[in-house]
Amino acid sequence: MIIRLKQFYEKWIFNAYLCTSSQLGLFRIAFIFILIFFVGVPQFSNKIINFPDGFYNPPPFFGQIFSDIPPILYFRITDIILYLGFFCTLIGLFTKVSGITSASLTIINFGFIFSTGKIDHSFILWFTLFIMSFSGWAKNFSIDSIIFNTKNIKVQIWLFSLLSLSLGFAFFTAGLIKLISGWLGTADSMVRAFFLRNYYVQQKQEYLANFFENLNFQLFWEIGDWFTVFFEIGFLAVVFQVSLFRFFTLLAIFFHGMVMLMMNISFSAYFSVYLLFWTPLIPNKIVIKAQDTFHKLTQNRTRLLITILILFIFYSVRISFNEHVYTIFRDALILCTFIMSLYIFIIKPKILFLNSGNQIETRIIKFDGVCNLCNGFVQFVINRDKNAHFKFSTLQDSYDDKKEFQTIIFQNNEVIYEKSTAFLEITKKLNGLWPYLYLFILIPKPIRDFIYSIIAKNRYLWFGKREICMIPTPELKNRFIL
Amino acid sequence: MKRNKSIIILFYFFPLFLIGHLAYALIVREPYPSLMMPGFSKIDTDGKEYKLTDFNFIVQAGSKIDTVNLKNLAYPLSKIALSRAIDLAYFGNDSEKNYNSIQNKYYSIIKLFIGEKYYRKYIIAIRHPQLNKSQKDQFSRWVIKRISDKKNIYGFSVILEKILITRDYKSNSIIRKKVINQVKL
Repeated sequence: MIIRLKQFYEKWIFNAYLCTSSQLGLFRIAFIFILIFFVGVPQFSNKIINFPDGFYNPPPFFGQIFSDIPPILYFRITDIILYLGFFCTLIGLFTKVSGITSASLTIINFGFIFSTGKIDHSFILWFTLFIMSFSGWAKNFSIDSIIFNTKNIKVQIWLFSLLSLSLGFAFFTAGLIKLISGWLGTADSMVRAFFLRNYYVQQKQEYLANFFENLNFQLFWEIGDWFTVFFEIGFLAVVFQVSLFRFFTLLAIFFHGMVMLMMNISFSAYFSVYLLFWTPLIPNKIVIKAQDTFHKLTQNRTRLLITILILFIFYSVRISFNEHVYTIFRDALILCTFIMSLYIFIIKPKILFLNSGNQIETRIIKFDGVCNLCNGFVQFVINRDKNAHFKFSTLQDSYDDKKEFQTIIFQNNEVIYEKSTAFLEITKKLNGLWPYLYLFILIPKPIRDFIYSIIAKNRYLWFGKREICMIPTPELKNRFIL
Repeated sequence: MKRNKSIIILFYFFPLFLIGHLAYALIVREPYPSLMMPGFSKIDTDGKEYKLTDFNFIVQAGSKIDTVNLKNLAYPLSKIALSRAIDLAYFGNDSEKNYNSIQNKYYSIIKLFIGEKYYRKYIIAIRHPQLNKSQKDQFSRWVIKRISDKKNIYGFSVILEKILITRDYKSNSIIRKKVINQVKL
């Protein structure tokens, strides 16, 4: 058991988020783009200048190295370094050094701001920038790849796993504190209490706040409490299930959208972090198009310099926007992604559980050809697989031993699934809302398989049996492997 | 291969580090940098009414009395950051009074285990660090300057009130307002 867990853990570390250097390069650009245009490049001199002198009460660890907030000149210099550092990371110039410097300086400088009592929300974002600077994300789509030899750089997939664990832990801590402080009591709703605190004390009364202020439907608020706690704690529980982890990142986007509409809190800092876990799903055709564009823009020195200059002007204009414009950009991003998350949840849940954006998968379902239940399930799959991705074969054609007939077998490329896992792996690839059945994967395998075995043993008794194996109709014949 | 082994070892130690860091944050105070997210512990309500605290600055210039609320004073800074700063500066001795019923139980258990002396020394002193007189004076000067800039007035006195507002859970109407603490800046 321990050996199996160890193997599973080590496999997860190195294989959970397999992606190419081109996908990673595109992620770098998207990550920094969101950071610059929607979160904002941190400028500390403006913030720190408003802080009371000598009011320095740092939390344990980092801040206690210093005795006071440094002079304003320090923040002015670091602002210039950050200004250039983020731009260099965007275009991929001295990418590793730029990323590490920008992330480190941001983390250090935020330490001074948080020393006055503000809550640290954004550390994961800068931590991701720091960690991903070691991932080899400059191998493609970077100036480094033109002027230096980046061919030997290796993509460090394990950093994805490290960050997924960190993000899962971060959400878990928020949920745990809610749980132990009694959020799940039924007499009152904490979501409502916090909403009212924001509405009256913080005077956040925009968007749908007025609607929610008048909403006295207790069940809605109770669901809000339970959803918040389970969603936050669940984030850690699904860390080792890559597709469920992606599902939770989309759930987080939905959550941030609701918080903005209800409480007017525009939290977009983690959006680019969530994107990281979707990187392996970037389709090949997008990568190829991006490569063509990159090649065109950088094919000679003049074009390259003009491209950098245009980007720099664009970047500088964006940086010069005031806080109000940032808020509009931020809210627009949250709203758009909120609508996108609703679209995926309601219309295209299949996207939530994709394994990869590029692989052409071989999907074969092997079933008991004389069982009415199994035949019914095959017909059910055919009706919800309009692009005909699934192929079918009867167990009678594959095996002689009748003992093998006690489970459906699902082969997805090289991986073979049995029993309840096979059933759930199939459902996550169907059209409609059926992929949500995959959430049952959270139930421990022995329990799922026990229930599966009871149904499998009694399937002839409960659903009947045919004398001969199913014969596919002429139009379905090419989908059956005989 | 050797490198992979180091990575695996890192992945075995990392969860232990996370657990240790969570325990320290829950018992003493969240360090910085920290991989934790704000939890927002329970606001005390009994299902009929709920209690929220706020601050009010009463500004007296001659015979004229005016008020400034925290939102106006803080803008464009974070109101939450400023309210925490005020709590530390002026109402630090009362910090434990802000605990909700569950936090009170939780910390009384810890106190029982480690004793009052160590509880004060290793938990309260780090959770709610006291400011020295010079720090308080600097902060007061900063607050007064800010009020002066916002209201465009000079030569005035300021009284800071910490208010407990009790609202009805259903209608949200204010049931009572009580000044729980006040200090002259």
